[in-house]
Amino acid sequence: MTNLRQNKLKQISLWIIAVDFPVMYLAAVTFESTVLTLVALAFMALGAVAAAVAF
Amino acid sequence: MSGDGPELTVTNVAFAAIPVFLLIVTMLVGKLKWSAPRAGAVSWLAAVVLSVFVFGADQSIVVIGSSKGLSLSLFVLTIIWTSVLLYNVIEKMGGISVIGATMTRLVRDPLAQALIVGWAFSGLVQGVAGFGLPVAVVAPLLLMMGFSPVRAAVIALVGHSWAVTYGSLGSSFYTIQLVSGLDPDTLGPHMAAMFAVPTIVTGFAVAHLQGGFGAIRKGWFAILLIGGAISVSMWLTTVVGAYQVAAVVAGLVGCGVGWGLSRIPGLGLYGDQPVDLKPDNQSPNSLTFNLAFLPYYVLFALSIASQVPVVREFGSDLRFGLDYPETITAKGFVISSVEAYAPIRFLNHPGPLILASLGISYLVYRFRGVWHSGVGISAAKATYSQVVSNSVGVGTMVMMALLMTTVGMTTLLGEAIARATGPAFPLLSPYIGVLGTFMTGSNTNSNAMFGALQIGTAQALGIGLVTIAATHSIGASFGSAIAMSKVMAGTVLVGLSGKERDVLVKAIPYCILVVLTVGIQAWVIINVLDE
Repeated sequence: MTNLRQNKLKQISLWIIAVDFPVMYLAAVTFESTVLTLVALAFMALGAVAAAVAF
Repeated sequence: MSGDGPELTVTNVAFAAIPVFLLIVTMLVGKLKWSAPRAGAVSWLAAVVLSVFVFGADQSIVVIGSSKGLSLSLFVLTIIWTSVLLYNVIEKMGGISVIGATMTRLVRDPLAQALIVGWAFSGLVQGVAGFGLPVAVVAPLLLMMGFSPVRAAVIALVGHSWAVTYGSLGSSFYTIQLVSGLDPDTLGPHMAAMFAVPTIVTGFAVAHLQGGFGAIRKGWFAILLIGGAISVSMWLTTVVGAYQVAAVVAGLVGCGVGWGLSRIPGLGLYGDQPVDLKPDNQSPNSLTFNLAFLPYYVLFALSIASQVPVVREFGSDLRFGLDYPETITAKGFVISSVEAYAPIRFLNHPGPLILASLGISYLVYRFRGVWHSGVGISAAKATYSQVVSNSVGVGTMVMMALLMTTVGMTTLLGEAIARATGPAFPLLSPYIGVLGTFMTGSNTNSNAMFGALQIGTAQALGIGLVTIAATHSIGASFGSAIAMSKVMAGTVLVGLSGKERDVLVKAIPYCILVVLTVGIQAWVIINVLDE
């Protein structure tokens, strides 16, 4: 992976985590929605995989 | 926090240990040498899988536990982001070289610098503010004074750890006192007395970090004097019941005694080297030391002002913190609901205080005509590029830690350590404190998480409750030296982002050694002195 792409992926993983944080909270605590919670969790897992690959 | 929780079996304990094992092994052992964000991400994914398939969590509990981790991460990261920004603003203005040169002139001997700034002053900052601020302030200061980045970060991490329990105006002390139900007038002085030996050992550790065994031989008497002064003043402060200022008083006394000793030849701290003030250390825009250091002056003043009772009361509702509901896993592990978890109080959290100090300093710089246009933008850009790796690392690791706590894995690990050790429990008791701080980045959280467990185990073994409660909190305090969130803060602030492993590997042996003295001391108190 080129440095540029790796750098982009690092930033993407950060922004996925940052954006998904309020989504997770709203899904699980505010709306108590199973579907939304699963989607938010999958999105966070995506961010974690991106971090594991990029860093 | 209560509930039946997962059964204490070898299999369950082995499963519970997997995320921590993964984190430590992938970062520290063998040829892997993963970065913190990668290790944290993989460990969190492992914790998610184990939470669901072994520890009875549903998707909601996993998300709530992870979200709590991000709440706590936000609390820590706001300190890191703002302190890196503060450092970059001063650096872009040319103030770093001015500060470094001046401080080197004030305290010329490198060992004296390490002991006064890295040991006593960091404890003082911990006493006033805590929450990672000592590392955020002291690591860059040591860097400015000419210490290598790794050395600066590790000295700040190890050096401040004696002051954590009585730091942050005693928040960790009050937590262990509350969860143990012990009389504060008994626990306070007992714990302060037990802090003495490991605190002095911390001084020797800082000296060793600065200059190896040569530095210890050179400064052993001064270390004993400074450490003795810190310990006696901390103990006396707790005897009069002023727990909330015990670390502040001890830090001030330590700085004063250290500075005094650095003026006396023959005690190992006297600066006998020529002062290295090269022409390029002079700022081109006539930035004086006081102007360059202004944001830190203002920050210190704001930190003190934030602890005034009227300000605290006024600001108690000015906060950001998310409420979390009670969670119960299928295994029966219960975590109570909490209001405003890990709150960022706008009038006393270091993040807003650092921003305020930057704002006030900006106005003064503009007024004095020393502000360059573009400094703010370039400092912000530099800060962003420096904190990306760090932010992902803190986020994923703290998510893992809080998820483990939410589903009962951390409690299970603590119980396993307590049960497995038996008569050797006092020796290993402080390491449970270390585990709590390592996982959560907080002495207070470690006390809340494991305090009751330690007391319960001590009752079962019929050994001294006060000593074990103190031992736990002291271990948790010294565990701050390797708390991942603090390691990440120290690393990014000295420009070593992505090299957390180097800092952690260097800090761990000192932490283990200091905590070993805590354990031996507890064992002697319980088995020999029969307290």
